[in-house]
Amino acid sequence: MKLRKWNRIIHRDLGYVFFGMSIIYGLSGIALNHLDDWNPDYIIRTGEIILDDIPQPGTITRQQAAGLVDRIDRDYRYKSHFFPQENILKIFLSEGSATINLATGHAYIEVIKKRPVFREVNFLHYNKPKKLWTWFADLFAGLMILFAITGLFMLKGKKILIGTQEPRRLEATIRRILGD
Amino acid sequence: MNRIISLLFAISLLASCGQGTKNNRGLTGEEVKPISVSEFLSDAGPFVDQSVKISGTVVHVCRHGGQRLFIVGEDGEERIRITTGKDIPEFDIELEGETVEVTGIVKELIIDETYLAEWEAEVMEGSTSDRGEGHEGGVGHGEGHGDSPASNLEQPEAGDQPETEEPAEDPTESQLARIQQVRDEIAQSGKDHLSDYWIETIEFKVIKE
Repeated sequence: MKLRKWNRIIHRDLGYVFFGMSIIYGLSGIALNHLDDWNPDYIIRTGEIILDDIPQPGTITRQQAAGLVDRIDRDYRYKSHFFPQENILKIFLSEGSATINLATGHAYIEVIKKRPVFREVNFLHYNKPKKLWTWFADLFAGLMILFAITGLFMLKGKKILIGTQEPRRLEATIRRILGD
Repeated sequence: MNRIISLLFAISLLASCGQGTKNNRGLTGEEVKPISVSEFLSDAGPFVDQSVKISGTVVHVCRHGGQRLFIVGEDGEERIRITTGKDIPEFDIELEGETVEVTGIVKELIIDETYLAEWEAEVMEGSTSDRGEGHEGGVGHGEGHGDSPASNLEQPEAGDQPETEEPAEDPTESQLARIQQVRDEIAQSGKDHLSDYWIETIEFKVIKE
């Protein structure tokens, strides 16, 4: 089979494979370029309210902390709590956390949700799976180089390389190198 | 050929998806010392480069990358920094509030004047550095990097207005201030260095109550 035909087949088939990987790295690349502007892995929503009639630090039980969660929002679920500072109660929710100043009743609520699609593609882009994915990503990178090179020779005749004066001589040189 | 390539691609993706957070890997026969949070905080020096097992409540997971989390003991006053290991891709943010048992290797970073001078030079060059991570609130304790505004929730004085966001601090100034803070801590300690300890995870599991 002729060299150009193999070149086209390789370039076409690599293109099928690269579709998915290009989406992964393209999406996460854009996301990671703007780390200063947003968190690409999580959607973090915050809110503040004032609670009244809150228990004193030394007496807060799990039930009382869960009761405070109910007062903040009935849809939130209590997980656990601790005191990072005197008079500051931090309650962990299944959805995030609530930090309450027991002296003033001021509650700061943080609800965290995983950002769909972006979190997954970032996970792969950062090479967090490691092991097999590392090898696959290296293979992808190598094939991307091959993809770029084969792309230069997709067109026939005078258009084989944009800007080249003697495309046929170049093609003949390559054939000689490859022994074709 | 198309089908073969597509099949190989699909298999590789499925294989990589299966290599998520592995948290139940067995150890390779190395002796593991169980320690408490208070033991670690009082003196982690003897445990450096040794495998330990420690339990605590997760109070913070790094929002950017999930490479660190912090646990506290029963008193909840001081925290220990836990980092991912080579077999742990990241910590899930849903670990916050959970009680975990971590098996890992104790690591030490010696902070002396040489380290501080290098850090200061990097800051003056304008290069971003993560040397400050884990040093907030005192070396060795790693009080988290304050990526939540709630960490500034303090008891206000009477008559204060509701909290508003403060303007962002110049990163160079804050880094230099942190370097000076560490220098002051070294001077107060009476030694020529401070040690920053953390645990690099080999495996971890959530303890269900």
